[in-house]
Amino acid sequence: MNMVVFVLLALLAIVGAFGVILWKNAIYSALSLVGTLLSLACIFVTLEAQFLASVQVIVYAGAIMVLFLFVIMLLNAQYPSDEVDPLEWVAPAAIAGGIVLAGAIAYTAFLFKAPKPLEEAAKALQGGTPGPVGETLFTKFLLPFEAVSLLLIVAVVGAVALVKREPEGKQVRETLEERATHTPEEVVA
Amino acid sequence: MIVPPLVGWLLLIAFGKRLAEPTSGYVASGMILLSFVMAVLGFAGTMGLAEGKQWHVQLWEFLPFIGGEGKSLHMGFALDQLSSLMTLIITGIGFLIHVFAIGYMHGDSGFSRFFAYLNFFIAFMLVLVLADSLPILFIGWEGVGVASFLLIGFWYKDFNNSNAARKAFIVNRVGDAFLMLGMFLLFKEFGTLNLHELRESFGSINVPLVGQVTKNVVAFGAPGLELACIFLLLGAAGKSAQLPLSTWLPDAMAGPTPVSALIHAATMVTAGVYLVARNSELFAHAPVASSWVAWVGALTAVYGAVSAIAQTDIKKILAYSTVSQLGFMFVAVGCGAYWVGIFHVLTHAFFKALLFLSSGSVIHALEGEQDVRKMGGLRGALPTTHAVSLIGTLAIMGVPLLSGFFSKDAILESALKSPFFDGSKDAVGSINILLFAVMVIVATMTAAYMWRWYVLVFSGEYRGNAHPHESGAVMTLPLMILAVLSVIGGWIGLPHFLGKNANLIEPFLEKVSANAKGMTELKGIVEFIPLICSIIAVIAGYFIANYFYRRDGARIMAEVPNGFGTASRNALFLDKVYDFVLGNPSRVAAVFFGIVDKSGVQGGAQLLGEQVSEAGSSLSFWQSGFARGYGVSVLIGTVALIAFLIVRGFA
Amino acid sequence: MVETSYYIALAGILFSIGAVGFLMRRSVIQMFLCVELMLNSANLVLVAFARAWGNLEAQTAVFIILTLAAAEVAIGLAIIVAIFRKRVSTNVDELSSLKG
Repeated sequence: MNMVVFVLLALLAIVGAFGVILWKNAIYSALSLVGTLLSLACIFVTLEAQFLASVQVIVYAGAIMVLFLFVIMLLNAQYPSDEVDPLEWVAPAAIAGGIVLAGAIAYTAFLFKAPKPLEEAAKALQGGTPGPVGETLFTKFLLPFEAVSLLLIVAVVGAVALVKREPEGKQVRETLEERATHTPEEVVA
Repeated sequence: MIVPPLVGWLLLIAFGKRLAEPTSGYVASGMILLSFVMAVLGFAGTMGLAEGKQWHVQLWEFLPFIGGEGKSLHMGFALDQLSSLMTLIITGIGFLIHVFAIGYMHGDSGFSRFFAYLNFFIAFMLVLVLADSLPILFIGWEGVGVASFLLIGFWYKDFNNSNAARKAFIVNRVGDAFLMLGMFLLFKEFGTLNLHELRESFGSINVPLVGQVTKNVVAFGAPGLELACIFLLLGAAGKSAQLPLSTWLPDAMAGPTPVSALIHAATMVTAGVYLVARNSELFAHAPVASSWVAWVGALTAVYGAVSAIAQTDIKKILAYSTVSQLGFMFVAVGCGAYWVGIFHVLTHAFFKALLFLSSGSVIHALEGEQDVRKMGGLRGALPTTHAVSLIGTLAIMGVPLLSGFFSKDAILESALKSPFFDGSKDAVGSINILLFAVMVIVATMTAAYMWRWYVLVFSGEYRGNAHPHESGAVMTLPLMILAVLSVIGGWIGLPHFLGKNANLIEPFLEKVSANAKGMTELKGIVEFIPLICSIIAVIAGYFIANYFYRRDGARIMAEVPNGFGTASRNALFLDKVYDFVLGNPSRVAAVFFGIVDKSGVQGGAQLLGEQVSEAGSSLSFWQSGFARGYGVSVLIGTVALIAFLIVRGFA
Repeated sequence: MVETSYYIALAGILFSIGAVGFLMRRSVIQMFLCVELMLNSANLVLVAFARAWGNLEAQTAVFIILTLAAAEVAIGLAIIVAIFRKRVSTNVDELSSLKG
C-alpha cells in the first residue's frame, strides 16, 4: 500500500519535472513545477515531516511560485526566443550527462544501508509536527535562525535596490575618473 | 587629560569640512583649555605628593611574560611632579598658541585640518610625558613625530615644505632607532621598562621588584648601563635636534609659525630633555654617558649660536637659537642638574613661544615676508608686537630679573659645579672650567644674535615694501600673556644666596630626580662667578650686536658675507657634509640598483608574465561567456566525481 | 514503509532532470525554475535521511533552506527584472559579453 502511494507520487513529481523542462511556454513550466512541489509535499507527509509539508505548500507552491508567475507575466517573457542555438553541442551533452548522473545517484542510493529499523527511527520524529521541529529550531538552530532572518532583510533591501529606477540623466555612482579628480586636500579634510 | 584633545582631533577629522572656519578653532582651543584645567588640578595634587610617590593608572597588560616569568609590559599612565609640570607647559602654552593660531590661520583652506593636527599633537605629547613605561613613552614619541611631520608639511603643495617634513621625519627615525636600542638594552639589564621600577632599582626605598631583578645589580658606571644611556642620548638627540642630528629643526620652520612655536620650540623638541630628566636615576649612575650628554649639549649650543648669527630668515634665526638653547638644557641635565634642565625647558617655552608667535605676527603683518633684511623699523607699525618681542629678546639674552636670566644662570652654575671626566671613572678636576667657559661664550653669542634679530626687525628704518598693520586681539592677547610669563617665569627658581626658600622649583623636582654624585658646593665669592659672568655675557653680546648691526638700511642690504658669515649662514655646512657622506653613495647605489632592476628584475618578471599569458590564451576558448557552457562543465565535473566515488567505493 | 533508497533515487532523478533543464532551456526564467527543482530534490534527500536516522535536525535544516530559497528567489527575480530592463530579453545566450 505504501509502495503504491509512493510510486504514484513519484511519477507525478517526475512528470511535473519533465513538464518544467519541456514546455516552451514559461507559464506552463512554472505550473508544472507547482505540480512537482505539491507531490513533493505529499511525499514529505509519508516521510513523517508534516510541518515541512505544509510549509512547502504555503511558502513554495504558494508564495514563491506566485512570485515567479507574476514576474513572467510582468515581463511578458513566457514565449521562447526563436533564435538559433549558438551552443548546439550543449543539449546532447546535457542529456547524456543527466542520464549518467541520474543513474549514478540511483545506483549509489541503493548502496545505502539503514542504520536502524525504519519504524523505530520514524517514531523518534514524532510525526514532524510543528512542536518538535520548533523545539529544535529554537534551541540547536537558534543562531542559523537569526542569521536567516538577517538574510531575509538583506534580500528585501537588495531586491528593492536592484529594481529601483535611477532618475533619468543622473548617474548616482561616481566613476573612478571622477574620484581621481578630487584634490588630496578634499580627501584629507 | 589626554582625552579632550583626542576627542577634539577626532571631531575635527570627522566633521572638519562642515564646521565653519572659526568654529573648529574654538572647538580645538576649548579642548586644550579643558586639558589645561585638568593639568592644573593634577599639578595641585602633586604638590603634596611625597618623594618617590606617584599617581599610577594601569590600563592593561600587553605581551605578558615576554621576558620570562613575571616580566611583562604594561600600558599605563603615571603622574608625578615632573610629568605634571610638563603637562602644565604643554597644555598652557598649547592653549595660548591654539588661540593665536585662530587669528594666524585665518582664511587658510586647511583651517580645520590644522587644528585637528594640533589637537593630535597635544594628545600624543601628553601620552609622552604621562607614560609610565618607556614603550608607552615611545608611542607618544612617535605620535608627536607624526604630528610634526604633518604640520611641517602642512602646506604640502610646496615641494620644499614636504621635503622639509620628510627630512625631519627621516632624521628623527635615526634617533628613534637608537632609542629603541636603548630600550632593548635596558630591558636586558633590568628586566623592566617601567620608569618607576627602573628608578627604584637604584633607590633605597624598599619596593619589591618584579622577576629576578635584585637591587643594585647594575653597578655605578657599569658598561651596559653606560651604553644604554648613550643610546638614550642619541634618541633624545634626534627629537631635540642635538648634534649630529640637528639639521632637521631649521628646515622644520617651513610649517606654519604657530607650529614652529608649539612643536619646534616649546614642547616637542624638549622631549629629549624630558627623557634624560625622566631617567635621571640611570644617568646619575652613568657618569660617562652624562658627560657625553653635557658635551653634546655644549657643542650643539655652540653650533646653534654660530649658525644663528648670520641667518637672514626671521624664523631661522629663532630656529638655530632653539637648537642652541636645547644645547643649554642638555648641558644642565648632563651635569646632573636635572631640575635646572626642566627649569630651562619651562622658561624657554615661555620666551621662545613668545618670540616665535611675535615673529608670526610680524610675518602676518608683512604678508608673508620672512627676510629680516627687508624688515626694520616695525616699532611704530606694530607697537604691541614690538613690546612683547623686546621682552622676549631680553629674556632670552639673560637680562637680570627676566626669566631667561635665572635659568641660564643656574645652567652656568651647574656647568661650573659638575665634575670633569676624562673618560676614566674618576673625576679629574672638581670644577669643570672648560665647560663653563664654553657656555659663557655661547651665552654671549646668544645675547648678540638675539639683539641682532631685534635690531634688524624692529629698529632703524623700514626696508621692505609691504604695509605693516597690527594683528587683532586674538593674536596679541596670547602674546601679552606669554610676555608676562617670560618676565615672571624665572622667579620660581631664584639662586640660593637670596635665601633658602627662594627656589621653589628645585625642591619640587628633586623629589623625582636623582642626586648626581661629585657635585662641588660653591662657597663664598665663587658662588657669584656664574652670575657675574652671565651679566657680562649679556652686556658684551649687546655691544657686539649693536656695533655690527645698528647701521643704516642700505648697508644691511648690501652686506657681503665674509668667510664667517657664509659659514654661519650655511649652518657650518652640516647639510652639505651629510649630502656628501650619505647622499653621494646612495645616489650611486640608486643608479646601480636602477640598472639591475630594469634589466634583471623587470626583465625576468616580464618574461614570466609573457609565458603565463600565452599559456592562458590557449585555454581562453573555454571562457566563452555562455552561462550554459559553464553549466555543462559543472555537470561533467559532477558526473566525473560521482563516477570516481563509485569506482573507488564509499569508504 | 518504503525504504530510504527509493526516496534518494527519486531525488537523484529529479535533480538530474533539473540539471538537464538548466542546460537546455535558454530562457533565464526557466533556468531559474530548474534551479528551484534541484533545490527541492536536495530537500527531499534531507527529509529522507532525517527519517532514516530518526533525527529532527535535518528537517530543521530543510526549514532554513526554504527560507533561504525565498530570499534567493527574491534577489534572482530582481536581477532578472533588472537585466530585462537593460536588454529587453530573457535569453541567457545574449548575456555572453564576459568572455576571455
